[in-house]
Amino acid sequence: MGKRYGARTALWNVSITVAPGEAVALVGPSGAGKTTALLLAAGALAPDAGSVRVGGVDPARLGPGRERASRVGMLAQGLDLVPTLSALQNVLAGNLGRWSLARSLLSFLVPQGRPAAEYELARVGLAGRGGERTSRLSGGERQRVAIARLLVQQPALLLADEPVASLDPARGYDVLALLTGIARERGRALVASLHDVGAARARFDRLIGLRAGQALFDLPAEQVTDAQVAALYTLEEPDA
Amino acid sequence: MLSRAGALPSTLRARVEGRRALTLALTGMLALSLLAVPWREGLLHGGGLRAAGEIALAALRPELSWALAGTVVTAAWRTLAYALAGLSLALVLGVPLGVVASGVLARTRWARWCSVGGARGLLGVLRAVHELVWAWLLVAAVGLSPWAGVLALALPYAGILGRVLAELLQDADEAPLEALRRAGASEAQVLAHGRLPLIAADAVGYIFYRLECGIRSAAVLSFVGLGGLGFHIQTALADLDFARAWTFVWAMALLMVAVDAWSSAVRRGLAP
Repeated sequence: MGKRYGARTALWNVSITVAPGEAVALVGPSGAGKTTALLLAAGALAPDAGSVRVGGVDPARLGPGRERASRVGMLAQGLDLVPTLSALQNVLAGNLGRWSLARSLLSFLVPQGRPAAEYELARVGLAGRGGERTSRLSGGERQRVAIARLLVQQPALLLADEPVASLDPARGYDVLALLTGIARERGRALVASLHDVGAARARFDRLIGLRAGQALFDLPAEQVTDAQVAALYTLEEPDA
Repeated sequence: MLSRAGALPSTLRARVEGRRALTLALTGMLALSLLAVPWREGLLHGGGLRAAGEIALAALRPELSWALAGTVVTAAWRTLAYALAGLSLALVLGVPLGVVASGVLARTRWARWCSVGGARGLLGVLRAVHELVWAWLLVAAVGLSPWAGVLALALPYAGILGRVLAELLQDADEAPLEALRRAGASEAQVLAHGRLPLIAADAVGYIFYRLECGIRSAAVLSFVGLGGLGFHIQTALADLDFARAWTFVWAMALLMVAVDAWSSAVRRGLAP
């Protein structure tokens, strides 16, 4: 697939296939096209060339709403929760695509589908913390709440744009272990963009190296060499 | 380009000269107006200074008697009741209008333009008329009834609250809203689960500020003949009973402090 922003080509001739239960990391320098690739996969952008298929359907065609939400879910940097609501209410918001307006309003009084939300909160390591106000949680905990919301949403494809950029390395590593573990145990496809190549090699099944909108490699994590990683981040322009 | 660069200093110069001419004209007018003051008769009327001193002293010695206490409490309660009833009705009218005026629920550009334009226009008309003027109009229409007082407060306050709410809703942080849309939420659900909780603390703070304004306005409206603290201040002043007037003024101040404490307590619970 390919995408241009005006005269600038953000992504060209890049083909990515992900199987259910597989965790793929997009690595590369800033501006390589990682976020563009994720937005194309989410259906938030339409490709200028090629096509996007999630479970045989183009998510951009579906438009916003339940159909798309059941196919693709996206995790940002943990800054997109509603801080004034409780952690539980934020997790429950993963249901909104399936709920009628009346049911979503009722949920403020009597939380709907609470057992499932509590279960997912426990899965991300926040058992019994649902009553806390989201703004009082730490950055790592907020990211876990966002993951629990994604689990309640149950999309077939999980996308994560720099999911650990705002966390310290230890906490970031935990969140990556959680994400890849969930992808495998629930049979979801996971595509995450990452700066940290070391963490990507340790936790993900496959690495795709992007540079200037092109895929330099697409290999199982253990086959990626240091030389390939160095080529990704080297400062001089290739074939200038 | 060159001619425009040359034109700029000349327009600047014209502006500076214009300003100087205006200053001169205004100074001249001030000087002329001083000639019209009847200096020989004094600026204050005969016993003016003495009366001012008396009123100031009375502030320190308000009338504190058990006989008056009942009247003060009843009057304060009535003023508070007018303000609360007026503000509640203003919320019933203003919140839906504010949501429509924000245009966040409109699906198409055309629908958005119509809803924003129509609702903002209506809100503008409501708040263009001061509550005292609404009170005159309503007393003329429905007579001296509590309805006139409550509606006189509710109509302009609905206009103000609706407009402020519309702007808060439009300016809510986009990132959480976008995340809700990706989870499949409709715009109505985004409003309920995103925009409203995001702005709740600001909105409630503003509503309490408006309640303070409402108490002040309700006191003034009682001059129209609707009862309350303002009515008693007016009659006490008519009797030249300044100590008694100050009792009601201080009661008003206490009411404000109490509302402020209530507002702080509620907002502490909502703060992010």
